[in-house]
Amino acid sequence: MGFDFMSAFNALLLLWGAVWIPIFLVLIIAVFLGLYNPHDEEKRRKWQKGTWVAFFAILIFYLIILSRNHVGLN
Amino acid sequence: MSEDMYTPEAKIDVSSIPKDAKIRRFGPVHRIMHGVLIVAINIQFFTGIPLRYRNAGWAQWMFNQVGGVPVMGLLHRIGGVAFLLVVLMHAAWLIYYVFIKKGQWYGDTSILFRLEDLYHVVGNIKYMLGRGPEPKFGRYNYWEKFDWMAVFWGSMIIGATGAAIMAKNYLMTLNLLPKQFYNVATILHSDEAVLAMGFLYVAHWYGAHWNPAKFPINTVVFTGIETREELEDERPGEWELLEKDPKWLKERLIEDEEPRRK
Repeated sequence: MGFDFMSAFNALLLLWGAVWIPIFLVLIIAVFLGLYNPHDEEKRRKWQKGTWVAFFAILIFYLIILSRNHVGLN
Repeated sequence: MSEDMYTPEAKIDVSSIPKDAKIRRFGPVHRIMHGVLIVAINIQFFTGIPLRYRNAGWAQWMFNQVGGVPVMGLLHRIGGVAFLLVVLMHAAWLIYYVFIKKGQWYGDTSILFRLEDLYHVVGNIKYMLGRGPEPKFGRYNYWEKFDWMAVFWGSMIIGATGAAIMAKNYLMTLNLLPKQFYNVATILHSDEAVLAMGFLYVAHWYGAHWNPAKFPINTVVFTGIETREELEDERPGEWELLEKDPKWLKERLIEDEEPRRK
């Protein structure tokens, strides 16, 4: 079977969502626990850096899991 | 409390409201609806999209993680019911807002599109190109209105076709609709879902959370609260309306534990 562009596109969108959903979940919990305040610029910058670190960490984690299980885009 | 202190009954001196004063943007009903919608729609994406591409290797792997196609289908139906509940909750709220609360369903504070939004689109493009001032957005700007409209029409298509597919076996016994209807409904259902997922995971998340002014997260839809500074900066049109309507401003102003001086 040839390469299915739409299947690959949807798989990538799901991966994109799967990376960001846990990040947003942690941020929402932090908001309700009072750990994240968007009006404290200094703290906000730290959370921004933390978000990028988490993004790449989760993405790499997923890619390792998917490659170990031989899961491709098609 | 001395008389010079602010009380809900007193007239509001707008100039005395500090920049960090808290102003309510969303009440608990909208925040709960948004929360349930987040959970329901993400369950739908992560269970529905693999079902659409069930022959793909990645979809097969996802089925194995949850216990197979039947479990994925069951989870999809549960998510669908939660999604329909949000739609019904929103419809009930709209009826309450328009007919009981006598709220403004069309106009300055409405989420429905107006001609003014078209001017804002043109004005915002000019602003982004450095060729004009930023448009004076009102309570909802045009991309927020589009976010709402997208869910509104999406829920009509996805909800109706999803319900028809779910009740396919029963409906077929009634012989009301040709068999081809269910094939068309499945295509509409899944195409609209792909559109919704692409829009939410890219456009909505950028507009709401990833834009530089809000990154990493816009808290307003979760806490329901924004500051006067944010409101004046992001929605000057709405702030002007609040200045003209002290009663509405008083309703939305959240007092701190310590009463604010006039």
